[in-house]
Amino acid sequence: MIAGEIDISSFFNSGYAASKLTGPLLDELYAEIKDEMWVDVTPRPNRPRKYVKRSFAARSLMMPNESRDVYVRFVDLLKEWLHPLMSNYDGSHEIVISATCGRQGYSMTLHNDVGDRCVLDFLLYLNPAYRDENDGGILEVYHCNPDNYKMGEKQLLARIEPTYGNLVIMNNLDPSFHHMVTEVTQSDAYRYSLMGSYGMISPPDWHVDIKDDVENKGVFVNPESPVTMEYTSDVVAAVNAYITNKKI
Amino acid sequence: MSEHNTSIFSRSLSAETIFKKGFDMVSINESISGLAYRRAASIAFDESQPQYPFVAPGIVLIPKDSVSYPFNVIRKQIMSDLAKTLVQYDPLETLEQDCTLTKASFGYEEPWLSKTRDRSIVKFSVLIAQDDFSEDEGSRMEIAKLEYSGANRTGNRQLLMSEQPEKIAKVIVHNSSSMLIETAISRVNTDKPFFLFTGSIGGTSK
Repeated sequence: MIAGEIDISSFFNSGYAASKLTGPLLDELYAEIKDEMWVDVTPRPNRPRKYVKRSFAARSLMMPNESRDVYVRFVDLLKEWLHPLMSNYDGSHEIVISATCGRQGYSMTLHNDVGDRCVLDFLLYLNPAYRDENDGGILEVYHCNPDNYKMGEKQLLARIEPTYGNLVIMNNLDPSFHHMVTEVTQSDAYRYSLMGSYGMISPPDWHVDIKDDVENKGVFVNPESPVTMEYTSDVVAAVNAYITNKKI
Repeated sequence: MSEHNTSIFSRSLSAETIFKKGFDMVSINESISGLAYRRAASIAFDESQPQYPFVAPGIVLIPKDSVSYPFNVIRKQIMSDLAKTLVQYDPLETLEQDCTLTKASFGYEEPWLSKTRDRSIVKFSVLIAQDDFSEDEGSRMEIAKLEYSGANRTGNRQLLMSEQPEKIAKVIVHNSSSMLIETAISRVNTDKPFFLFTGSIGGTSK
């Protein structure tokens, strides 16, 4: 279950709302995400958002709007929790979800995601190995000048630790709210999380193969069996085999 | 010559103010204000001779590509003032939506309503009148902020703005993406009408 009600005032006044997922579903999600195949994704050099040492579950690169397995139950629960907010917005009510993993050195610079034209972004942390803020990977939310956040004064609104089960939603409507992730300093870290967006104004056609577009390098980083792949076609073949084996 | 001096507004609109306070307001220079009134008054609101399609009695729809002078200049100035923020969402040319022109006559009013549903980023309203209005003539455009406790409204409404039409036209741009912001028009208690030119930026409505 998701603890408490969504804090609508916090979402609009502070740019985020936080809660916690508890119960058996949390552990089931962790078991599922650990079993994913991972692909390192390198952002294009000219993209304004810079992140490093980040991997996506290969299945997330296929059709992120079609959740499978235990993720479906999480999406249904999330939709119910967010209903008091989302019922006020027309447009697509599709949830796009990706499984991600950050390793030691992972960070994300200050940015907003209003260009995605969704109502909110969400993050569910699945990091049982996380100890305290010295391990890094803290989500920071800021209030900035919407015209030029690099030049204006920034006001820190919240520091949210990636504690196991923490659920955060971020306001993706107001350009004043920005967020970033501090560097993960924990050695041998595998910072699993489910991240996604809800309520895109006009979602893209997810049936288009997007793997070429994200310039993935095809490096699988499951700790037990790291495999390097050089070609996108190899990634596709591997993902298809994975899906076939799992009878999805 | 700086860009500021060519503006038809009393000052530039501020995106920071719109999102921090919920709205921003500027006035339009006297010459354009007068032109706007005459143009609005010339549009036939007689349903037997429509110049534009009616969306309701007294309210015509002006398709986004048919917005004519001086309303096109007013909208362009709004887009220009907010451009640095708006381009973060989508290319400016894709953000403009259809507009409406309302002839607010005796008895006209709009109830309190949050305008989030159409997914617009901001909405603008231009109050256009031939003369100033007195206190007892009503006709106020009002903006308020709601309070929530958890997922539920508390019922409290904090009034942020209450403005009457004046001879000098007013441009009011409010944050229409927040559920906490509501707008209303108080009842028109006079026989002299005013006009309301409104539009959405970034929404989906047609």
